[in-house]
Amino acid sequence: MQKLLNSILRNGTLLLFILLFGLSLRFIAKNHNYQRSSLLAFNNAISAPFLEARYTFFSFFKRQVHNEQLVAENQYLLEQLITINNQEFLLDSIPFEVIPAQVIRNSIQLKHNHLTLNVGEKDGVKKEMGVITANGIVGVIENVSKKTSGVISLLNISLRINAKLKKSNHFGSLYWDSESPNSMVLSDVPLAAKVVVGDTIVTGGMSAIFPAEIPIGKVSATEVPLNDNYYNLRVSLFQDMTNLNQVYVVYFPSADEIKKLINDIENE
Amino acid sequence: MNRLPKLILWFLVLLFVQAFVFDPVLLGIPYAPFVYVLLLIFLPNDWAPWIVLLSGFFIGICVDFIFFSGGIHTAACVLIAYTRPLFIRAVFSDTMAPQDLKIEHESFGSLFQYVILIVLVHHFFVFLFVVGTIDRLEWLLGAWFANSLLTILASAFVLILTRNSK
Repeated sequence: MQKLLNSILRNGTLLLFILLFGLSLRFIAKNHNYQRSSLLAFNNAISAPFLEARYTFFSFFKRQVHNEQLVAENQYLLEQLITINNQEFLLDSIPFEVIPAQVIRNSIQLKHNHLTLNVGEKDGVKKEMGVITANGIVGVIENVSKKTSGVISLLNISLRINAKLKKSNHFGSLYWDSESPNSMVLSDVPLAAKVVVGDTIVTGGMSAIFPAEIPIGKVSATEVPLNDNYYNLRVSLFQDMTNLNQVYVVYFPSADEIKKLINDIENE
Repeated sequence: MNRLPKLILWFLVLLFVQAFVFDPVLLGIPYAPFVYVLLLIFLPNDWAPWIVLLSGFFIGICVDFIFFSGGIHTAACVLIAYTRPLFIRAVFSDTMAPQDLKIEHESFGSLFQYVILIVLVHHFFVFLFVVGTIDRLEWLLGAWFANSLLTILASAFVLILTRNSK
């Protein structure tokens, strides 16, 4: 007995090593058997605050990557949404495509406001394409260079856009009266439309620029000019035009056919 | 006896760096240096072997918690903690008792050799435990080599920094 005790004491380190090494091998074996791994669950529970802190720390550095992922996702969703809303406009069922872009310059204080985007010819941008965000429309491409493009902002008194009431499909002409960067005017809406404050205005789809059903804003006031049969509606925009960053240029697949058709009709 | 606080500080710093910088998932690369191995080197040589073993076990568990690797690093650390005197004899003079070694008094060259040896052995066992078998020998050797290289470079960087700051 004395001998056994002595040998244990002498080889204590070896025994401790065998014990600890065996324990770690057991951890490994347990970890390989996923169903029975309470170790991982425990690990998860213990590390949660640490992981959260680490995520916060790294998301700061990875925000660029995260943003790019979000943009790609948004691009996909917008394409799906526009395509579904415009099934009847699609020739040969070519889906709509959107080109992600960043606003690198914006103006709101002028009467003729313009924006500059960081995409151009090489990205597939062409003149007279629509520019939108997830919240609504932003403007129309006016000129394109190799790497950038100029956009007529919604806040430009020379721009007129075909828009309609979402609930009744009555069309009108949307323009900016330079009163405030948050609101525009929808004119020529027939009195039969029975507009109330709060009605939603969307794009009409009667042009080759914007697909139909893209949100624009809400009616904030109605007015009927004297001796007139049409409303003048004040529309407050969904998209804050003073705070633009990520936008999407809409590629309308049948734009050329539609433009040609319109030209042909006008020439006859 | 200001050795222990210094050691604890090293422990915290190296684990922090391991978790917040040298994590393959965060770096987006398949391998990342396991700089925490330096802790096994910094453990005082005059400590009783059972304390060194328990310390190695504790360091390994902490790293396994960081990487969700369930025991792989623990096993490798315990192995290194136990076999450390062998490496000391191999690299430094074999006439010297391992417990007399004070790494801060050794030349950078022999210290670096010591680090390389420990890293190579430690990493071999880490990746062996990752694979579980020796079927994927090619992968094992590739990962072992790549990761060891990264760790050795990072460790050299840390050693140079600490030497210069003295």
